[in-house]
This record gives sequence, C-alpha cells and structure tokens, in this order.
Amino acid sequence: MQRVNLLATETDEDLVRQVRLGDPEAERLLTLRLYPGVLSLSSRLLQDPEIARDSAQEAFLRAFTKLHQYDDRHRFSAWVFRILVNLVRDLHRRKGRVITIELEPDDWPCHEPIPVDALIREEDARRVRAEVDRLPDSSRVALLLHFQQGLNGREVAYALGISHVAARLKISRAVAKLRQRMGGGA
Amino acid sequence: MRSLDDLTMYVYGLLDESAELEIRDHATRCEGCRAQVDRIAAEHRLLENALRSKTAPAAAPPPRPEKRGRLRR
Repeated sequence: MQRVNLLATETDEDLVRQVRLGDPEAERLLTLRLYPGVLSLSSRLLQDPEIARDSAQEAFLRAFTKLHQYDDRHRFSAWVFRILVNLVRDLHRRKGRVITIELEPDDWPCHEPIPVDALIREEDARRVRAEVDRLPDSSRVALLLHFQQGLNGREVAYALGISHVAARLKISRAVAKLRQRMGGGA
Repeated sequence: MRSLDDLTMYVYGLLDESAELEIRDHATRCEGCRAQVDRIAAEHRLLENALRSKTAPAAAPPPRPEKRGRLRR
C-alpha cells in the first residue's frame, strides 16, 4: 500500500488545484487530511455511526464530483462541510429530527498530551458539550463549525449557505444562550 | 464601554476588518473593555477545548472514490 505524507507542505487549496489538473493522489491526500474532522462533525450530528460514516464519505464524493461549483475564496474544508450540512439537512427532512450523540473524549484516540488546563476544566467541558447538544440544530452546527472545525465567520456562512451577518448572529446568539444556561455573562 | 455582543464578535474573529480595527483601537484605551475581552477570550478557549475535533481512528480511512457506495436512504 502506498503511503502518503499527510504533513506535506501543500495547502488544501494547492491540492485542490492539483485535483483540478487531474491528480488522483492529491484527491486522496485531501480526503485523508480532512476526513477525521468531517467524520467527527457528522458523528456529532447524526445518531447512527454507520449513517455518519456514509454521510462523511458521500460529502467527499460530492465535493469532488461538483468541484466546479466550489468557490475558492473559501477554504476547501468549508466546501466539504457545506455539502455535509446539506446532506444532514436532507436526512433530517426525511427522517424527522436528527438526534445528536455526545462524544466523550475517550471515543477517539488522541495522540497529543492533554494540557493541564484541559484537565482542570474537563468538568466545565462536559457541561459545555451537554449544553451545546441542547441548542437548536442550526445554532449547534454553527458553533461546531466555528469551535470544532476552526472555520471563521465567513466560512461558517459559506458552509451553512447563509449570509455572513446571519452566521455571526447565529454564533453570538448561541453563545449568549450558553452563557445564560451556564450562569455566565462573560 | 462596547456591548458584550460587539466584544464577543471581536474576540471570536467574526467582525469585518474595519470593525475589528475600531474595537481593537477602543480596547487599547478602555480598561473595562480590555478586562471584558480577557474574560471572553478565556470563555472562547473553554469552548474551543470542549468542542474541538478529536482525531478519527486511523483504522477507518475513507474508501477511494470509485469504491464508495451511495448514501443509504
């Protein structure tokens, strides 16, 4: 089996340019790089792990077959998340409410040392995750795209197919709701 | 003092460049806003730590495009 260098210096967008020139290895490398994040979000949004895997794979399939529709002013990951969010919306429409599952930290192997700060705050983190899962679907997805996947406001907007202003509002209202429920207020 | 909402969007990096520069400039002169920015930044770190992506198992890589099935309905 041929090994790929996931730490290659090309950016995702460099690889997209190579995919557009017909390089299948660039497509494979991009998929391997982004798959963990896409599967992670898919798993949080869908109850069934098998459907979550299928949805993640389908998102990549569509991302590459519809590559001509990708707006390269945004990161390629935002394009894949946009497709995933639409797939989840379709499933939601067909099957009723999509129930999220709570992923405990031990569910995925982590190869980095756990920072002391995270240990101290693990109790807070559990509570945050539980409260986020109680948010309405659209607010939860916006928060996860920003905090879990590191998308900025414009990329969240692109992934959700809404305006930048609407994405900002969704995130700030979701945070305000979390503050209210967690007794904060910054 | 700027509103909590404005300062939140500033810390979260959700503002346009001009609005971001305006609040940054204000925060250098306003002690109350600076303290609030520090609290919101700590909150951002907490949310990021709580929600950040975990690495998926290496044993379950995505299949190559030609081998993928369509999404089951």
